[in-house]
Amino acid sequence: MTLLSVAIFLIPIIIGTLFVHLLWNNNDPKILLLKFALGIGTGIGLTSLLYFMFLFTHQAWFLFLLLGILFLLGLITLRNWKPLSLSKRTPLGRVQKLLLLILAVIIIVDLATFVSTSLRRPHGAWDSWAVWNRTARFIYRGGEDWQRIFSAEFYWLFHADYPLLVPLTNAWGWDILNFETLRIPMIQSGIYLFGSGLLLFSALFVFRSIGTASLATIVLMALPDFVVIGSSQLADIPLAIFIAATAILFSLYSKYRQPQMMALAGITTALAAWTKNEGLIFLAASLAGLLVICYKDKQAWGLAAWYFGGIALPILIVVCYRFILAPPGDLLPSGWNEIWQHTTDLSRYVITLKAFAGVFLNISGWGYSAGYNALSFFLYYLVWRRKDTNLWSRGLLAVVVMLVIQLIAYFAIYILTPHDLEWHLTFSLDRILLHIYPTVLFVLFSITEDPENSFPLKEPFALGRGTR
Amino acid sequence: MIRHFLRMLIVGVVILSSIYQSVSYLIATKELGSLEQDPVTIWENKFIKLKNALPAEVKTVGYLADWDIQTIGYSNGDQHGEYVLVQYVLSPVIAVRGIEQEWIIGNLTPKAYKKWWSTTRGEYEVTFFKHNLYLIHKIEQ
Repeated sequence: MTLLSVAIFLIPIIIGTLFVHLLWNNNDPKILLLKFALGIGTGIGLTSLLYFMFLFTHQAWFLFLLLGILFLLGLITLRNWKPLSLSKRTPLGRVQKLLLLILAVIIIVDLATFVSTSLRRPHGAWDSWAVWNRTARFIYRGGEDWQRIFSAEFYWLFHADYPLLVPLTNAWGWDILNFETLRIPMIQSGIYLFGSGLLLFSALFVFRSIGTASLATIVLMALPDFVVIGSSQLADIPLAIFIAATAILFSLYSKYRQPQMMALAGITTALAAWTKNEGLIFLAASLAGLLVICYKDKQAWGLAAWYFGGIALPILIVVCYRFILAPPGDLLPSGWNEIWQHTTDLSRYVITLKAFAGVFLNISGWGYSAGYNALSFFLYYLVWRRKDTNLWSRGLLAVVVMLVIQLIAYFAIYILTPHDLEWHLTFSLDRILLHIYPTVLFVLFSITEDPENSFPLKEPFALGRGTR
Repeated sequence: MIRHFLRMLIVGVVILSSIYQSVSYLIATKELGSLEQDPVTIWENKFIKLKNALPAEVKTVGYLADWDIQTIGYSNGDQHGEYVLVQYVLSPVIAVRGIEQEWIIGNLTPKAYKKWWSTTRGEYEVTFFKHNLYLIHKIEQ
């Protein structure tokens, strides 16, 4: 059952990879790896949107639909196939080999952690059985009554308004297998966990070097909170993937100037909104990023057209779901009076600021290492910063603007929350900050030196520096 | 020279710390619970007979637990946790708090059940299950 469950996820992953490849035609092996990493989330996300539409037909041939799309995309790819452009290869240096080896060790340990966590908690964590897997069960077991997931009868703790990417992915997995196995949510969780590592690695491999990519991925994949949340069948790491993918695509546009990347960024933004309510906030952040990219750019209207071309259909489905089908959420205050009370209550700002500072300064959360907090990131930046004059590309600036907006919005949600503030902070803050963690690492390691160029090496240049 | 030393130092700390916390967390997963049976699966098993006894056409049930019975002490966290588990296990049947529905799931300690039974009005048919679970059928609508 495990192998079969893995196998059915290969279909949307290949669909996603082919889709990204067709939009961004480049056959450099490094870029193919990045396209595969981008294709994981894109494929699974688009498949869940397709399944959402498919549910309204009450049909049972979703597998054939997926195989048909796979066949079609495969055919188009083959017709347009160009030979791999193998650039001049430079042998790996000692530092690179060492970092790759350490990364491999961390990944193996993470795999063991993932398996151990999944076996000990096969249904996931609290939110998994309260929200994500419960919704998946309602969709799969409910049959033609699947729309009861939107019932107003649900107690607020069940969050019937939450977006459906993760539950629908479980449901179509069970639908295809015709069997409700716990392996499907487990494997979905694992794909996102390790997929986020692959995305960060492949992006920094393209932008920087194999040493930087390895070091950043070590930092990401060694964070216990990231691994435990990523193994717990929650929607936080999927959201982190879509935020990071959008950030990487904006940066890729700055590097390659191919407007198709903006279409992909539009799609990944919509998929973030399809994953969690925080993804709806990210929609605003992504639009701000688009503004930064387009500001005084000759192709601004064209870029915006590509972006909105990519985002239009998926976001239309998300908006229809959000405003027509889903019940109202529980995270916003019930009226202007309550909003006024919360926004003018200074004690709420103090409590929230303390909690944010606690996480950033590693007083609580973010694992138990001294190596993972804002101070150590700052220290790393001070010691390893690059001195290039063109360090901050427009894409990277857009990413920073997105991160700042996302953080401010999270802060504002806590100020406004109708729930008990301390309870809300305790049970969500360290988890929601993981949404931006891979993107923060992407920025940090984009603006710092490559380790292989600082340590004495026999080989002077890192593999992959040729395309910088 | 100092900068070079600092660079080596910080990368060394990052790598060692990464390896340490990865391995530590792997070891710590033992504390997440047994490999044999997790609490959610135990709850699933507790409910097998009750779910079979529930008529197939029922789509919404009431949910009655210790927190609904006056003068009965309870842990708020436990009651919330059990409610979430009951809803997860019963899917796709919705469990609504209260006794407005024709069919009600009781998750009551013996003391709470006795108290509820002694104060309740109306006619109910109660089927008893293990683990303090009750399937309550309201006869009079």
